[in-house]
Amino acid sequence: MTGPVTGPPGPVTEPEWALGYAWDIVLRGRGATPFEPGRAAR
Amino acid sequence: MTDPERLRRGQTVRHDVLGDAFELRPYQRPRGVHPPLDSPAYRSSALRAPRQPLVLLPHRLTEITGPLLGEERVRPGDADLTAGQPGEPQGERIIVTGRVLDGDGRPVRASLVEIWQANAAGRYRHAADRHPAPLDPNFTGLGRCLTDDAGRYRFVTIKPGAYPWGNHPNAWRPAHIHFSLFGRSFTQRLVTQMYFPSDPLQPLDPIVGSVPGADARQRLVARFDIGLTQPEWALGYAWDIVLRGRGATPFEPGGAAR
Repeated sequence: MTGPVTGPPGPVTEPEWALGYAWDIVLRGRGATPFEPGRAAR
Repeated sequence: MTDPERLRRGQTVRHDVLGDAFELRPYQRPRGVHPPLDSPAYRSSALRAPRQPLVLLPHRLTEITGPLLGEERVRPGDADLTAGQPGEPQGERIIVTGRVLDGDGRPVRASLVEIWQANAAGRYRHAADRHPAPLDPNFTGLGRCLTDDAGRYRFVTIKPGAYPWGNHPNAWRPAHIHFSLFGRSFTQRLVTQMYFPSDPLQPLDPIVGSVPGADARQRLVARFDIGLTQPEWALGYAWDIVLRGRGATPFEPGGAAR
């Protein structure tokens, strides 16, 4: 994957409503997200 | 000289109450452990923080001898917050256990330990809680037990959720359980909160932040313990409560906070 990895467009947590978590998925390269080898595990 | 004046001067006060000798020893809150009465970032503390120096009230027969709840009124089931309802509560079942210790590491026996907490969705069963998260008909969030001869308490409950609390824009309380401890008389009460490890909301929380010092704040965080964890049943958390000394648990200055 090339190009910069960007985060979410703004604050994710919504006041009085829900906590927000940000998680980018990177397909390849040094910052690649680990993927499971086959089908979904537990 | 009155009893408060003697205590302020560091003198021990002795009384004979119905043939039993009682000693009141001078006590000063240690610095760097407990939160201050007024913590500006914790906004509601300004409303209840005294503006005048505290007045030590004399402890007489009533204050020293009672009343207490009474050990016979605490039932074993009171320590299981997941039981006693028509069904099981929603959420992550956990075991919270530890010891109540004095400043010398000795167990504090027969202390009434009470807890209250939000449900798994971060909602209290309380009329004042308007957080739009679901109530759980099978969860009151209230529990109590007496420490045993080793000073040990143990609760089975549900991991509480975080919730918004309006202290400042986008303010969220980290997951926590409120604890109250009674000593040998009604006037011996301590209140504090237990937190869970690795909660990203803790560094943002003004109530956690009102406790001076990272070491003292860490003493409010329970430890996940795989040894306490019951396979196929519940995760285990260990949390000791220390009344005094270098390892003292930080206690709230007055009554219960949110």
